[in-house]
Amino acid sequence: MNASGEAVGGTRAVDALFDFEATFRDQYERIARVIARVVRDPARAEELAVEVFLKLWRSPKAQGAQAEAWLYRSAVRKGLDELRRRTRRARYEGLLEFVRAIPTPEEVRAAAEDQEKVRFVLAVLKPRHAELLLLRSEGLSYDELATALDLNAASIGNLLSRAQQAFRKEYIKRYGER
Amino acid sequence: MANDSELNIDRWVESHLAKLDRAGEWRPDVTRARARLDERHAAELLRRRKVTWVLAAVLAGCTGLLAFPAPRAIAQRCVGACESLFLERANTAPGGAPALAPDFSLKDADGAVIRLSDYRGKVVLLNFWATWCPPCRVEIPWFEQFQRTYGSQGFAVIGVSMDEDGWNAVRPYMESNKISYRIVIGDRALAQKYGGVASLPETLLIDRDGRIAARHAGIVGKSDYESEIVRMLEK
Repeated sequence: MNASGEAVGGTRAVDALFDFEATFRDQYERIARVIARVVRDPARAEELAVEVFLKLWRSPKAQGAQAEAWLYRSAVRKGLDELRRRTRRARYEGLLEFVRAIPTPEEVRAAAEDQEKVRFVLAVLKPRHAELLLLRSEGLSYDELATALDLNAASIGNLLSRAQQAFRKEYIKRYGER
Repeated sequence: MANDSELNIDRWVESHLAKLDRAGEWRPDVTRARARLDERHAAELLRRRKVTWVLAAVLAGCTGLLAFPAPRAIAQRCVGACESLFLERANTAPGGAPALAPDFSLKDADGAVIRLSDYRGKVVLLNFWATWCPPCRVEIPWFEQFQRTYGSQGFAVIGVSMDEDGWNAVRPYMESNKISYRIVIGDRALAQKYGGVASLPETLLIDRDGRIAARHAGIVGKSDYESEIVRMLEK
């Protein structure tokens, strides 16, 4: 553990083999990006990524060989929690009208709307389905998915297929095939 | 065909999720995040330290308060009330019938053995008391009077002294106060059998079937006792 890691990593006796500082340095950017795909606001994604690492620091059990899988799972869950919270609030505030609005021809706005549609569908899916889809789209293998979500590797294919079907069904129900 | 369909769905979902990828040059600021993490970590350590100090202060305050007689008495009374409430429930058998009073066999001031079960058929007032306990001393003349008045109708008082000095403290007190009802010396084991006697006096009224009909922690009015005794004798 180097000197700059002392504030968080060095003040406590954690697993001697686990280097918190190195893990932060190597993984922070990627974890922030995972969250930023789910939540709209990049600044908020960065803050949530910090929370994920703070949670890692607080959880000695998560530190060690499985830390990376744990970080991905926590990042996706953190992002989805934030997404659901915002979706609920927007629903109450009647601000979700934009998802039913006719798309404008402007490409930027269309892209933003497409993102919001995907996010909205992820927010209403079963948490396990949404987690699987997001982690898979981050490039995790079946084995890595099984480790991250504490699932049996043999059932990942089946679960992923169900999650994809659920996503497609929900999306088409709301927005059509496009 | 099914495989094609699955493949198509796989691609379809993948293409939709790909829309989440951020365009442009956005990059998370690792340096700022590092500083923020240290800041949050320091705040958390400070909060934990504060909580520890507050808990230590509360504990020290409570311990200090218990050094004074009045708060200690109040605390004992509260504990006693909780225990008696618990015991009241515990002493109620399923179906709501009062539970049997635990039997005991102890010697009185003359060395004669007193067995509670020998009193079956009588109404018994079982009084846990001590010579150093002022409210207990208030009640003793009442019990003496109840024994004289209702003794012939199948009523008996048994005093259980919890004095640590045993007969050395109790015998002189009995003589100087002319206590005629029977007294035994109790101990922690007996108190435990009765669900723990956290405060004194503590008095139980046991019906003719040997069941605990009432339990009072602390001093209770003389007339209240008397009306309960009369009612139990009439049953």
